[in-house]
Amino acid sequence: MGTVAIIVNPAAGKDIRRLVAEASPVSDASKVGTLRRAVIGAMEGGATRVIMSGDRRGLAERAIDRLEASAEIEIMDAPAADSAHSTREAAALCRSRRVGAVVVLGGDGTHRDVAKGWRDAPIVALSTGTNNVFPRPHEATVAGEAAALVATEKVPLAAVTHRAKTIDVQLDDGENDLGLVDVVLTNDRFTAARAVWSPDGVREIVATIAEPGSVGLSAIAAAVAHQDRRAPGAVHVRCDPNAASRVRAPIAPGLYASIGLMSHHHLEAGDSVTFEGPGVLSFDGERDRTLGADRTATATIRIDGPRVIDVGRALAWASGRE
Amino acid sequence: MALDDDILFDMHRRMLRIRLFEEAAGRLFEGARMPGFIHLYVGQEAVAAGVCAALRPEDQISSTHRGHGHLVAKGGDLNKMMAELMGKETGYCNGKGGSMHICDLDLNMLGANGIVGGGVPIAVGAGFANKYRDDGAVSVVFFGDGASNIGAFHEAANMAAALKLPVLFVCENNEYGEFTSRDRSMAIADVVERASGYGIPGTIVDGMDAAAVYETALEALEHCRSGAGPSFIEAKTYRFYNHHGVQTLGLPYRPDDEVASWQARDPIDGIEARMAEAGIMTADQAAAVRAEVQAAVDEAVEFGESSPMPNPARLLDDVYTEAAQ
Repeated sequence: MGTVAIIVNPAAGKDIRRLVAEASPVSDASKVGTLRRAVIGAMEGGATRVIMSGDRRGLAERAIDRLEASAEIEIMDAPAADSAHSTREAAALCRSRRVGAVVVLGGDGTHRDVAKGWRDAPIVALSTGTNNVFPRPHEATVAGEAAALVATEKVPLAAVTHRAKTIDVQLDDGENDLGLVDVVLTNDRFTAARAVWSPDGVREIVATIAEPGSVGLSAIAAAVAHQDRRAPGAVHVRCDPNAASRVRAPIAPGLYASIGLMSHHHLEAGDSVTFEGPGVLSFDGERDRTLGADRTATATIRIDGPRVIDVGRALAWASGRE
Repeated sequence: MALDDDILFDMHRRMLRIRLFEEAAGRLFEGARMPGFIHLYVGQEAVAAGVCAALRPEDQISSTHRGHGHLVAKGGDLNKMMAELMGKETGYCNGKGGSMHICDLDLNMLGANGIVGGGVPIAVGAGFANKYRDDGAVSVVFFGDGASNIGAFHEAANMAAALKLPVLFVCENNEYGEFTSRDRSMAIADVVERASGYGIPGTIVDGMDAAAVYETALEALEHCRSGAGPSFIEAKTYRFYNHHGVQTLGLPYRPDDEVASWQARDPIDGIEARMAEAGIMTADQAAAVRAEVQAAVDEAVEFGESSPMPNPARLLDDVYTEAAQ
């Protein structure tokens, strides 16, 4: 009882959007500090055990260096190489270890990897990446505390969480994948530098979150429709660089672009959209899968993703104010 | 983004030229048919090919002691390179430089460099000249993770940033400086964090993916050409062979499974697979390019072996230059 896990993505906040947009680099030193504060918060919240993801650069080891620990701290074995795969494995390990709550440090892409490893993980989503639509800004100290309050069952999980949506993608070759915020088909042929920063190649967007204030490709959807993260459903947008109807949207930090729109419509949970190749599928802002000519992928909206802990409500509940 | 077929074919050929040239050189070295020392670039081809495919002819590059790949990628003559490695009169430096001093100023390749970090201030000097001449050229410096621990790197990076010089820093982080792992010689894992300290914008790229390197280099070069000052790319990569020579597995300083995991991400296999998947190049076409490049490499070996040794009477030629008037 009372086990909190903390998963950090060492690669988050370092991609090409620091060159092609105005995104700030997120240093390892900053991640170490954030991790340390999350551990301190988790111990304050009563966690008896804290499991931290391991990596090749020793972020967790640095974070707990000379920390007076009231909980048992365990660092997972470092993977052979730091990758999206290692984040997924860390999340899967948390599930098998019956962790009570997971603090996730990263951007939209990191949270997607966690969901791929543990679909309905109880998480505190903490933004330290580039595009942060799914995770919200919180001070890590209280984020760690909120996770511990849930993990120790001082606060009931169901009372302070909402169920995140997913966009499940079934490819025609039998592979499957998922996005949490947006799945986008672009005109690219290669995944190359992965991030998407040019609006011209964007053909279709499916977004589960289209809220005012979004930054990233889902901001294009937010410019034409509203889709709250807590409400079931999604937005499907078709783009055309030559269309007369245009919107401006912040598609990366500090980067506004004009996008031509062909159509948009609302999707209910359970509805599907079929993407047709050739093109590249990007998930939560990263080009990740090539789709050859004559190939298809079907995206379906579901509402059985991670259980997202509301930090403010968890703390309020614990203090008897909710 | 601008990854058309021509660029993909071009990068594939550049990488194969590096790979097959170096494997031939490695065999000659192993068979004691080549004097001196060679540091093979095999494994890191996507970095040199991706960056150089994005360059204009007037852009300069400076290189490292592991420099064959950079010169090949910039368009180096395989015959003159092989002859130089063999210490022959017909080589790039008339046989007096060898592997670590190979250069071609006509191609704006400012030289390999036997001193770790030595190429960095040279590139920054070229960047100063570019800015002074206002000719739109960018100078690119390839260097390793180990070089980023050297004072010359820090002084040069600071100067490039302070003077807003058009210099692209390309750190090929292959995780080892000679036989010492990066985590035993540095307290940070990402060299790009050092760029931030000098006010240079930078990013990390998968150095095993030529398309990713090319796309990133185009953007970084555009930043430099715009007058905004230097930019920085850290390419995560790996050398497949030993620090020098051709041994791969069974060495105590790199775990065999680590070597194997990087070899499984071979950049040439990678681009061939992706081009095949996208219907751009068939396996037969790839094999034909390989055969063509192998023939050029075989010819370079033949050229080198049949070339004369340098004439001792010319020992002091090219050592000193005439004083400027």
